[in-house]
Amino acid sequence: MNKNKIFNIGIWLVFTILFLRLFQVQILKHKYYYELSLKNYLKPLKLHAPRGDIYDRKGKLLAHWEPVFRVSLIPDLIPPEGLKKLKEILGRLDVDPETLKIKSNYITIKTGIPFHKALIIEENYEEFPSVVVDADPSRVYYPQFNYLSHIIGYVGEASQEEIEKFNLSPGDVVGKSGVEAVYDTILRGRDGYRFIAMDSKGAIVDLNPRPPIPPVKGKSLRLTIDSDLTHYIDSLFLPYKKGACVVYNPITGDIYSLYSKPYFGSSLIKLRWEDYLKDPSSPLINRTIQGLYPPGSVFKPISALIGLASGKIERNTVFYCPGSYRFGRRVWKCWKSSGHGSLDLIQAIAQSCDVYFYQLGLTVGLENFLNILKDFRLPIKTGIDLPGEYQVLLPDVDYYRKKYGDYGFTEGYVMNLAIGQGEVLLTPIWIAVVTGIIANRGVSAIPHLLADHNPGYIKWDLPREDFEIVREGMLQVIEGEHGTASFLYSPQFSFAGKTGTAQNPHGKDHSLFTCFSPYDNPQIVITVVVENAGHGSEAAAPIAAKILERWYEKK
Amino acid sequence: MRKNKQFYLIGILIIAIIITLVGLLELSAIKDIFFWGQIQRLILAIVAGMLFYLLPFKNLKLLSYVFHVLILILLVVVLFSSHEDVKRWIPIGFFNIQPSEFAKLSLILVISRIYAEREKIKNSQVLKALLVTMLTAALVLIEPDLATSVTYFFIFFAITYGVGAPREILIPLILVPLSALFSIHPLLIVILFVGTFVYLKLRNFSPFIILINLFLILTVSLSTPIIWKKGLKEYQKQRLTAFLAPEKYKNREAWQIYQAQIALGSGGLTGKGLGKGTQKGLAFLPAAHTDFIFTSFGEEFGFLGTSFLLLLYSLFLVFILKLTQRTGRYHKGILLGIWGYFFYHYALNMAANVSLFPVAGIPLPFMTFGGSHIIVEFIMLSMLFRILKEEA
Repeated sequence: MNKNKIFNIGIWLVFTILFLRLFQVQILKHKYYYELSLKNYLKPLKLHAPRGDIYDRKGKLLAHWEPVFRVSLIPDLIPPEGLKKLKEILGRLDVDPETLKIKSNYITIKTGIPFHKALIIEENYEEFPSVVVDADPSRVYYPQFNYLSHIIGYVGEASQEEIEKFNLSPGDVVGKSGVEAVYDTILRGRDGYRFIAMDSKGAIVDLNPRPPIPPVKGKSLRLTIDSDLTHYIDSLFLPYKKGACVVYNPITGDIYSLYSKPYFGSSLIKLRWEDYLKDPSSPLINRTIQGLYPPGSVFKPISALIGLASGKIERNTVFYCPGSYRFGRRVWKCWKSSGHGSLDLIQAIAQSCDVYFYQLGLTVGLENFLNILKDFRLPIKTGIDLPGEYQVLLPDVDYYRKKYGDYGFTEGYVMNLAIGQGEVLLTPIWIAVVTGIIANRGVSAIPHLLADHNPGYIKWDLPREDFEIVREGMLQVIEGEHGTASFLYSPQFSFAGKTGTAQNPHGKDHSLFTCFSPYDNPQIVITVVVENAGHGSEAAAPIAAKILERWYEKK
Repeated sequence: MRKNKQFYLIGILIIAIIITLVGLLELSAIKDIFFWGQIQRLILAIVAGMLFYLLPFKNLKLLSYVFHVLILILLVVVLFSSHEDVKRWIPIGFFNIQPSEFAKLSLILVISRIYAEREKIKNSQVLKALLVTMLTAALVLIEPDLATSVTYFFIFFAITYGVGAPREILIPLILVPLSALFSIHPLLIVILFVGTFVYLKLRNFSPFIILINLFLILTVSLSTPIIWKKGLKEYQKQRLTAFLAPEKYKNREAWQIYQAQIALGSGGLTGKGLGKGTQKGLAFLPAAHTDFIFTSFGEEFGFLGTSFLLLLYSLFLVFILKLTQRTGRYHKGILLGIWGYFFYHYALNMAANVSLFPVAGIPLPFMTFGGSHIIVEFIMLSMLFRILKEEA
């Protein structure tokens, strides 16, 4: 009896342990093992999500997607007698029949097959269940919007680096440049999966063992861009080979147009990549954000603000311009060799008098000039929502010391600086933003391409009166009797601007113009750069005026 | 009392039938060929069981030595009948017989007979039974089949302890496996050493016996690691290491255990349904019809199914124990041996299925695909009936 009790205890002990263990494995860890069991036999095949569409501000479709068909083969399912006909069909798709010999359970034979050819396969599906067609979403760009390629950008297969950075898998498509890259995570969507069931040896046992997880299309984007306006700008640039144009709203930050010539085609990027790279006119460069230009006289409003901030220059400060200015052993010329006569600050801006600004610079002094510029704390990038924006170059004392040595530069350098030559290099987008700040007396919105979105403001903390003086000078460029762009005066609308001619050591000068309108309550800023087109008033300013004209017409 | 025993016996029979049917059901879900093969073997087993029922124990008692010697000869023959690494089977016609399975039966008969020789069990009888067990186990160990050879010792212990062998011989017998087991950690050996000393002292054993036992502990525990290193075959070590860390060791053995856990665990509460087990069906679960038939069942019938089987098994074992009450020494020995057989098989096979123990190749009674063990189990079943009949 006693011994049976011990045997019974043994039974209960062992079976209780087994019971608890079963409870642990089958109930507590069921979910874990269930997932593992699915992984064992279900092979997920990715269904790529279509990217979101891209629209312009008026709802015009700029980038879309369409299915591109992919033909795959499941060798396990090939009936032996059907192989011959199959090879024949593959021949019609320009596929090497030798592909069939590769050992794998799911062979992609060809991708990028157009719909009508995919139909050949679909029609024969009953006969050949081993050949399957899948649709991959493919990005579609429209060639008529090629002038927007710099903004839209393009997509491509993710590189190893991108795969790691964004946690992607090989073969995934990712935005490489432009909005496609910046808003990639929004546009990308969520990939889906369909499944095939395989046994432990890798043979396919079921092509549809569980319902697929459908892909979710990426969110569509509406841009601030006005494609019609940009198209119009493109036509205005017809006579010129290279240039850039920014049209933007300093209140909202909306970029209506961001135009860079020459441009590439988003849809052609794969095909013509090598050509684009080799092209000496660099069509891949977005000149609005990557073109660094010496601003020339466009810089004079900033010089004026430096002068006012120094306290040594006032609205009424008068300098005399005889057509040239002697400093040291050198004679510095004004662009107008006959001279401007006596000018105050406003007239100097309006007539873009070089001699006035030489004297302004000298009055302030080089070190002082540079330090005030530094104290302005102007951003070196606008923060536009595009990848690859270049920093502008605003020199400071350290820069000069580094470049020329502690005593390698003289006071005379300030004269060049004051008229925007020499060390300053600016991007068109930066010029546009600073124009916006001046126009709005100290603040402008950060330019952006994504509609209904406010990334914030750039502020420039100076007395309002200083901005008013410079604004008035810029108004006189158009409305003043001797304004450098007075020939563009229009009674329909008011606008203020500044012409600029950037000396170009490699060829003809670059023509620059930046302006805002209307004068009292500025709603629009336009900055135009035309490379190798001479004076600012010759090429750039008329383009800006035409854009304004159209702007008011459409309004 | 007899009425009670009849009730238990009927219970045992019903449980055996249910388990057998469950096994057949599961085999049919794995592959038709296993189902029909098992039907053939079952017919053979039932016939063998019926024949044994006709045989009075009086005759069996006389024949038990002859019977066991025959089996021992077969165990020698099996070593020469195959050229494979593992020599376990003798091919005869449509199936292979596994003498080591039949040895379990003949050993029970021999040991029971030895203990039935005298009114009071002497140490010499125990040593005689131990010698027979060791001889049998040694032959099976050569095959090699560690788990089966351990079965013999378990059966030997169950009978020896159950029939009431003297304590002074039982203690060293129990100390040997314990010392071997405890040798995994020096602290455990110390505890065993001290514990044994205190126990023997309290029970007023002579200093000589105390010394012998303590010496035994030291010898066994110190030599076990050496035997482990030199004596075990590579695949046996692999099974053990795979068992200890299946997700770390990616060898074949570990994969087996890992896959078994996935299959069992993915069954959940209610299982995936008969024939719908993906791990078993798609051949991720290895040995689904033999070692892992319990897991295979667990994937398809879930925790409800497995705990139902667990309940049946434990009732089966409890009922057999009930039969041992108020029986003669010889019959008691046989009943205890049968109990030991089933207990060891259920415990070890299921422990391996839930990865609490290394995969040892121990069949699950009435369920695992195979002829020899099914025949042995049905003969045992018929012996239970015969014993009740003879006691009447």
